[in-house]
Amino acid sequence: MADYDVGEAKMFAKWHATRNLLDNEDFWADCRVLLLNKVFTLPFPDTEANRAVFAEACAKYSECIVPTLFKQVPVSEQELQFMKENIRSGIRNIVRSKNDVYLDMSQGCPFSRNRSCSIKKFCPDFCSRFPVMPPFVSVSDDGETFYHLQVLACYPEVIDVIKTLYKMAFSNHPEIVILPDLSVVANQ
Amino acid sequence: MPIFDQSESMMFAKWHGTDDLQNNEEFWTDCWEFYLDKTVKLPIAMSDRVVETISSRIVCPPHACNDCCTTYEKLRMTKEEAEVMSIIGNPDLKYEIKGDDVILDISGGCPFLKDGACSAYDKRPPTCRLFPILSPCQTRRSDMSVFDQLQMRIKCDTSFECIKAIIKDACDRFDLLLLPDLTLLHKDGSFVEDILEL
Repeated sequence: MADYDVGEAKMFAKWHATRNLLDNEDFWADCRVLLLNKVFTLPFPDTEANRAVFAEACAKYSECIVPTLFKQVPVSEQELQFMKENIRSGIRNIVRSKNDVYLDMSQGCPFSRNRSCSIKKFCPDFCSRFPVMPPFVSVSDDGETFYHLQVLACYPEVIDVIKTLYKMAFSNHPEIVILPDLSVVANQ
Repeated sequence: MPIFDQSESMMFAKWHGTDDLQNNEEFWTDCWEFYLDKTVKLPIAMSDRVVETISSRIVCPPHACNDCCTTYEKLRMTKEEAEVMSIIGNPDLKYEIKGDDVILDISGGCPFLKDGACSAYDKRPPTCRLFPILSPCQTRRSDMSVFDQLQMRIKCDTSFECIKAIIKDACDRFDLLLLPDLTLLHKDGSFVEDILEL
């Protein structure tokens, strides 16, 4: 038995009896409201092209909301080195925990100017990819590794992109069932 | 997103879009097939009514499946129950006394299991009588009161019939909605946050 949050429970209660959700515009309108701010693990690979679709849809939001959502941002040693070489003011919010390195955002982002990023060319992958999140990694029974696209639905436009991707991928596949929380199951 | 296991995904794939699942016998047939050995934790308190629903259905004869005799490693009972079974002072048994409880070591099989039957059948403690109800999970309600929450394993026809009866009863009494993974929700979409008392 899975754990549902409040929004997901509402979606299941309202839409449990509707089989074809993909073509139901009222359903998608509800998703834009009730499924906001959730992280979705999507049945698509974490490719540059897939990430770009989300970046394009969210381009109109010039404000960076990463510091309002995360207290720490993961950064690799290579990224950190690149930042150190290019940011003259220095980086004072580095936090090290065992083998991981983070930028501390608990006091806000030191590179934020008028709520926009002042180091866009040098910022860590985590920030530049946002609202796409680090991929969800799964390993199949035969040892093959998959990197699933994960995205935070911080804007309604993210839900719109998911809708477009789902329609493109699943419109002619009646064996694929979209559930009210936007998870996808296959009727075998 | 909720994480569904393989059997839950298959049940959702088949049953998403169907209303009133609790009254659909074909759905229950699938549950039996897909959820055998699954532990079901319901938002329902272990009330007298629940215990009665279960004990009226679970009538396992002494030579039945013996699952209760081999599933557990330790069997907890009260001192009175242990005395009835002549456990206390028996040098052949491994047990420890903790407060008012006696914990009998049954790892490797229950010492009362003789020739495939319970030799203490009439005196057996509630843990054995109510198997496959698992020890209730202590859960706090939003008013901070603590309740024993029902959890049960789908282990045999009888346990399955118990779960089915309890879920149907809960759906009728509290106007709940049943999802294909056996989750219960209020029909207005609010969570069954508190443990319900049937």
